[in-house]
Amino acid sequence: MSLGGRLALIAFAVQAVLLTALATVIYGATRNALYDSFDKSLVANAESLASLVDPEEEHDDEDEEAEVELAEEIMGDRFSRQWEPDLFAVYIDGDDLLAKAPRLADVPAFVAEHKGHVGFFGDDHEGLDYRAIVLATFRLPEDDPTRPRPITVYYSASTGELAKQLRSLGMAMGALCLLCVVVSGFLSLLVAHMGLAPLRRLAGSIALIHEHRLRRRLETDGLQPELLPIARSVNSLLGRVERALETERRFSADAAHELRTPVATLKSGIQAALLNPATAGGAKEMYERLLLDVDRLEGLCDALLLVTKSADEIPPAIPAEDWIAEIEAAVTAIRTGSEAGNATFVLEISRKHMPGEPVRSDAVTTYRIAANLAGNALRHGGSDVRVRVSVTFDDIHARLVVEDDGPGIAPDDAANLFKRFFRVESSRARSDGGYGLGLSICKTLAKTQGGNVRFEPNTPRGSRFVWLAAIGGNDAPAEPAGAESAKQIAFGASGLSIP
Amino acid sequence: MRILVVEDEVRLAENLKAGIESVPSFVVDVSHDGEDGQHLALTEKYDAIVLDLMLPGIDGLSILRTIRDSGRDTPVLILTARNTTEDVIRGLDFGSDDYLGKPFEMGELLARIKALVRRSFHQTDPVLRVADLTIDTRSHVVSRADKSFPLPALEYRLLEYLGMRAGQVVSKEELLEHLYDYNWEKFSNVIEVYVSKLRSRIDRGHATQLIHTIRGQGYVLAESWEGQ
Repeated sequence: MSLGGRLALIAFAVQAVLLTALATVIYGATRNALYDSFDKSLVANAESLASLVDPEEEHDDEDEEAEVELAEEIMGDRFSRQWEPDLFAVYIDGDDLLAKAPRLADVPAFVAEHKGHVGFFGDDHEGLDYRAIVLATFRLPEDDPTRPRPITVYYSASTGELAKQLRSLGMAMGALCLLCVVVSGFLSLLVAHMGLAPLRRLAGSIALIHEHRLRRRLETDGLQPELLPIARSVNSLLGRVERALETERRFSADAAHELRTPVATLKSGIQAALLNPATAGGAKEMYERLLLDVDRLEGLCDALLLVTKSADEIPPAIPAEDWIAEIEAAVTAIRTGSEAGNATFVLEISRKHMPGEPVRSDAVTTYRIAANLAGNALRHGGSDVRVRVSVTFDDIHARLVVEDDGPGIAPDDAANLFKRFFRVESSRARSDGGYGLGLSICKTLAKTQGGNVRFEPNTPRGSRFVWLAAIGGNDAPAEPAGAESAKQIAFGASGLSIP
Repeated sequence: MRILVVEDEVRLAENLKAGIESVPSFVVDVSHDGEDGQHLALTEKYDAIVLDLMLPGIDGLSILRTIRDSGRDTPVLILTARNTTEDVIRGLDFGSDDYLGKPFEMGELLARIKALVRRSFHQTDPVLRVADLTIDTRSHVVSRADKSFPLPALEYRLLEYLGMRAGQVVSKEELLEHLYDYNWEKFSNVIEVYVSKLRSRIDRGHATQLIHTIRGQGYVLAESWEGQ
């Protein structure tokens, strides 16, 4: 679950508990208040009724009847004597229970305990649909006045209406509580989303920093205090990574640079020997073969230097027309080299949608990638391969596609094509197989300038390589990347073997 | 033509000397450190200098600056492993005439040196022509009246130098300075001997003499010499 989701869930849970507790407290308080009010009313009514009874006074049936009538007048419908829904009474003769309410099993014990007092029974209201009080205990004369019959009169009133009101209140509060919980859940999500917005912006800023733009740092001015430690840590980490990569890059660049002199020595020695008229026959052929190897070494040095360039050294983007011109020059050079065989080259250039903005690739890189891909198609496509090179544009990319109708790349090999030092079996067997660095270098160069190189199987047979170069200057966002003789030096006389 | 190579890598310098001297026109002096190279550049007369930048003692750019400050306009080609665009711009701004990165193609280097030398003599055509004599500086073939003939290296060098300065009087001292490297023992009469040999090959059997001796001054290669 996302951090925002977790925060929202925690906030939601806390609010739900608090709301439930609050609703419970409010409901309980309301319920108690209502019962208190009910009880006060009950007591008041009971006391009014009790005041009518004089325990010392002898009663006769007429008196009793008069008192009951008076009680009925006072209490209205809520008063009746026995076994009525709103009133029950128990008749007690001495300790004998003469009658009992059908749903109040503990009444006798309670009456025995509280006889003669005014008070409540059934304090635990649950399960009772009425509340009752002991009104008074008095005696009714029987036939024998000396032996009056004590009678306790209870006054009770139904709590049904009250319970109904409380149920309605509970349901209303439950519904309100549920609504509040839902709303609070939504608000929690919204607040968490809004609260995490600065973090998302920070993450977006970090995402813009890639291996070729390590000099960039996160802006800390105006950043929320909670995010400052993150930004500072990231900046510190970037500094360390940049220094480490710079050290590695400088070492590689220096090594490649230092290699130039021994390679130059070797090459000039061979070429001087070839210029010497005394060099002839087998020795000359041997020198020429050695020269090819030196050319490859030279190409490797150049490639190494190129890929170890820091972002600051990357030349600016070039106009689309220049980009096309470099591709044409590269393909022409490769095509010229293939004239001995039956291979055919087709170059198709579409200037539809050609951008006014430059293509993010310098001239050397453009030539190198185009020559590399075209050279690959020629080298691995067979003696009568047909190579089609096409250039197109859309709004965000300049696209170079090199496809051939050769034997293609085996699926197992396709996954490794862009790995360094990987060579397909057909090129391993070749004496001029090279080092398996070409495609890796092409991809690195393309990505350095915001583009990419990818492989696709061609239909019905063959290979298809696509180079997407980004449109725009070097500050544009990256994708979710001379003379013929001089360029030939960069590739070596026979070009880098690819893959 | 006398070329100075200032290169601290001894084997590379040897290869450069062998490669450049494979062209009959050129003779090469080699220096392996900055101080010696600067001294030679300032005291000897070279037709071109091939200069490395990273040298022990004095670096190449300082040597170049010193050469230019001394008023010498000897063509200088920087040959270095430092060949980024910035390096090239800086080298040219310091007064070099050409720039070539290592590793290099020997053929390209030779072509550039030839072009530099031609430019320093204000010659744009690689084929030098004096009357019916032609000297092809690319193939080193000499012909007169459409008949070509081979020349030994030193004689060709002598003829090409005279051809570069056709119409001008070239003293024996100049010829000695430009045709022999530092290690040669320069005899006073060696120039006369070779001029004599050259004259016998070029002018013998032709009505028009092209090599003229200017007594007390030197030699002129020209269809005619009014001062004689």
